[in-house]
Amino acid sequence: MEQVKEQVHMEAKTNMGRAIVVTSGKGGVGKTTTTANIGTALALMGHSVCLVDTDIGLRNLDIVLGLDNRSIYNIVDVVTGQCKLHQALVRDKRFEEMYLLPAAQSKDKSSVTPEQVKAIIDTLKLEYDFVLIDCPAGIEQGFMNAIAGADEAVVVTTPEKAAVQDADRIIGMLERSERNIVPKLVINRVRSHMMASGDMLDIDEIMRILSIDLLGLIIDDEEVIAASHRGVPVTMNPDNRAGLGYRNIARRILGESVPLLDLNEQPQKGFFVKLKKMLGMK
Amino acid sequence: MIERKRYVTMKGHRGGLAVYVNERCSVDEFLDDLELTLADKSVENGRAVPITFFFGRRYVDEGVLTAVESIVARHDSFSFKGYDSECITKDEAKALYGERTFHYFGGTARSGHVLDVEGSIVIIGDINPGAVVHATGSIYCLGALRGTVHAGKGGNTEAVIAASVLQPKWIAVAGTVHEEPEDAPIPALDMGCAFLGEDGVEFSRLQTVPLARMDQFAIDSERG
Repeated sequence: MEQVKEQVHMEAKTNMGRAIVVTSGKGGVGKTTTTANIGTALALMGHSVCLVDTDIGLRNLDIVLGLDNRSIYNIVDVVTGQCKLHQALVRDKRFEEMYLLPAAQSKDKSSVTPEQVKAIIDTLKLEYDFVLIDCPAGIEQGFMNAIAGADEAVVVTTPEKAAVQDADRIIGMLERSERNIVPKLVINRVRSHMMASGDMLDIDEIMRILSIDLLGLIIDDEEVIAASHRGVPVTMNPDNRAGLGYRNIARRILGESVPLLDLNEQPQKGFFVKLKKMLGMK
Repeated sequence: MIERKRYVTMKGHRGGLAVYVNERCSVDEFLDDLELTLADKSVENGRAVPITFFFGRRYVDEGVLTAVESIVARHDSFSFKGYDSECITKDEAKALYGERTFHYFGGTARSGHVLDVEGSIVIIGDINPGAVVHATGSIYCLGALRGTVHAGKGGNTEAVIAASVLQPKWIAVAGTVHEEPEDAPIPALDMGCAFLGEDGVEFSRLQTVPLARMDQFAIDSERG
């Protein structure tokens, strides 16, 4: 058994890492949160991860990870030669093997070119099992920069028509891109009661429109916001259902087959919690 | 008396006359002959007999046509009804070809995708919300049609739109835009078809498309 583990480890090191871009088209659907949590979940499972923030001018990933006070250099400094790539990487305080390459806050998207980003990603792929790229909103140069070095894509959407239509656009652009990236879908902020009442697109409808593989569902949970506020990704919390969703996504990225979360479990749980409260049991 | 050479032949034709014009002679030759023939056959105070001209494999341009019409106009016994020729120019042929071409698009037309074709188009996939498909002919979608579609763009009122699931965001046929009533949005039609009726765009199940519209399917499938 020990031997097998050793072998797997060796293989992981000799193979190139996987570069995955997290994108959505629309802003505010949870790209940065998803990047931080998938990265954290992969690190929890013992993989080496480097997170790259390409949202130059509006950098957020460092805040969500709680690393905003540690970053000194950024991606623009690397491109302009102000520092070496390894100098700009910020090590996560919780994991030995998780690093962040921050974006610049003072510059804009045109400060780097897709070729420069690709060169950085290609270098990082040699050292890390996973390189997760946080993409800015929009379909302009920021998007082109973000997908330049990516081998795979995670498209994040919410169960809203606007977000789904923008995700559709992004999927079309990824499919027709030179890199021929096959995107996978994460549906964020799922509210099962609103889906059931027809006030939101339900999962089946979204899948019918986008017709790509579903990587996972994330339940809408206030704890996600609180976790970002504290700078500790929610997936660090073993009891949270949103956090579990991200860990499941990480396992699916690793090739495991994990069943989807049962959406109906949440309201039931909520009901019993309420009942217990009413009875004074909690 | 020397028999003059004939370049036009006159025959009875659907309540009027047909004039067959020699394909190989010069324009002046047949115009002269036409003049003489008409003068020959003129009858006093008869009613004007309509003539249809058949030019065979002679290309007839505007100038020739005007000359022919003016000759007929000089003779009270005849009137110009129309003409037929087996020849068209390359431009006309191209336009005709474009209109009759069938385009195929494999895959899903996603948001932001614009397909604008001369002729008819078959989409082997879905047309998603935000995607735009314009065709001068008909639009056939093998998947779900949820986007923006305009068939018969340019004025072909015979064009049809058919889809496995017809639930367009915006739909028009030959410039007539379908306006969805506020209170009654169109439900998704399985095996749906849209075409231009008397009161604008009409929707129907494929199976209940009026017979007259079936002709368009037949024509399109012959082309395909």
